[in-house]
Amino acid sequence: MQQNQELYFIVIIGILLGLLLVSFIIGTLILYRRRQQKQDQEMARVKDMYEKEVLHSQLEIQENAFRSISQELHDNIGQLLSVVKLSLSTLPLEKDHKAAPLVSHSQKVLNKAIIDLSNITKSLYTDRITDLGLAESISYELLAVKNTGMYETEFTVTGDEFRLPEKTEIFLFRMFQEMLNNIIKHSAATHIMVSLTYHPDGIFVMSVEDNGKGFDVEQVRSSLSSGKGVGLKSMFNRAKLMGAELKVVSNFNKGTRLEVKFISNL
Amino acid sequence: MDFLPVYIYFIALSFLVSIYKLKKNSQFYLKIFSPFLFLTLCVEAYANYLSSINKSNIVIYNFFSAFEFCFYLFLISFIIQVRKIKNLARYAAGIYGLLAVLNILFVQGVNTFHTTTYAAGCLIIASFCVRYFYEIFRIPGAGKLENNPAFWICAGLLFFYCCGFPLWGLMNIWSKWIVIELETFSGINYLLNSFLYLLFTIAYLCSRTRNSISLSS
Repeated sequence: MQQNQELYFIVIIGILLGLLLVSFIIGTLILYRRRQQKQDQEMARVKDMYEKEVLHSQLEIQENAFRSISQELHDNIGQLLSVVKLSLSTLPLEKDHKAAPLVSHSQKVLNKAIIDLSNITKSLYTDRITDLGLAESISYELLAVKNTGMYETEFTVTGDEFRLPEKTEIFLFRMFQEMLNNIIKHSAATHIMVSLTYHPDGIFVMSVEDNGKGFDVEQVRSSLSSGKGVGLKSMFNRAKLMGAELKVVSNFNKGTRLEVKFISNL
Repeated sequence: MDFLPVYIYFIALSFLVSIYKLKKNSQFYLKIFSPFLFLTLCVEAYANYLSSINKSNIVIYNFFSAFEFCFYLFLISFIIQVRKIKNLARYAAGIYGLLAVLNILFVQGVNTFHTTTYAAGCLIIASFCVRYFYEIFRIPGAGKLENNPAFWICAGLLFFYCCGFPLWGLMNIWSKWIVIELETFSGINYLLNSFLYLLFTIAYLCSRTRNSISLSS
């Protein structure tokens, strides 16, 4: 009887100790996993912040580089071309001189170069974008494309236009330039439609559509090749950085539509 | 022929598993733990043999338990990452060993169980194990905790010495009020030992080699 009682006592103590041990181990493992998840989230947040910071710096450097190039083109190359143009126009040549047609042709080519240079300077110059506004800058850029005679362009602005933050306008314009560049380089499109929609509640939507050959968006986005999809990735990065949403819909032989949605704190 | 206490089989099991699972690139503390398990197995078997022929084994347990504390402190010093705590554990091992031997030889005597230094040892080991758990919660690693042998070893040591402290360390105090049969006392002790060596076995079973950890993380 006494022995049985002792045995029960040991068994009960054993079960209690076992339960205590198991609950300690399980509790520790659960707490550890939670702590680990929390740390992973924190790491992801820091990494995201770091990436944004790096991207921000890269874009700032890019904008500064654009500004310097634009300044240099305008002040240096532009001036030199103007001097050459002036010199050519003051050449004492008779109409029937055998060099006259050649000089006339050179003047035409020079004029074209000066106009092209001026366009490049304007599109690179950041301050001009903020001075003119996004809609005006886009319309100017589209006109230049239309003037090549290779594309039909359509530009619509819906709603009461409001100004977006300076940096956002620059980012949106650079995204638009990238979209336009992609259409010209890859799409084989003939028609480009651009629309800007200003909603009264501060929502701004920019969409760029073409009737080109289209592409596989996911394949390009996930491409590991260093050269492939850089423009698209850069657009997504810019959108992420300014807190905008970028949607890309593309159908083979039916065209591509890119839409940027940004909510402004009016 | 008398059967050996059940926990000795657990010691043998953990030793065999440690031999089987030990790899060249295993952590250093796992390499030194394996011979220690073998030594424990020999000492426990010899102590039980002495007991079976009605001879006192207190001298063996006195010195071996003091050595155990020193060894565990040394082992924990390899598990803990913070250099200061590592050094502290090593100093504690040396100082504790010296004090325990002095206590056994000159204070409590070799034929009495060294309850004072045993209680102190329990508290020291438990403190370092708590420090280990604090460390892993403060900076969680990339891998799974259940694959970390140090977790199982420290969990076993913490549990064993937290329960062993009132049982052995305070034995002189509570035995004045509570009358408990020697068999019951031994039964609880066997259980605690079985849990301890079971966790050591799990430590080896769950451990991964360092290469596989770095590949998975």
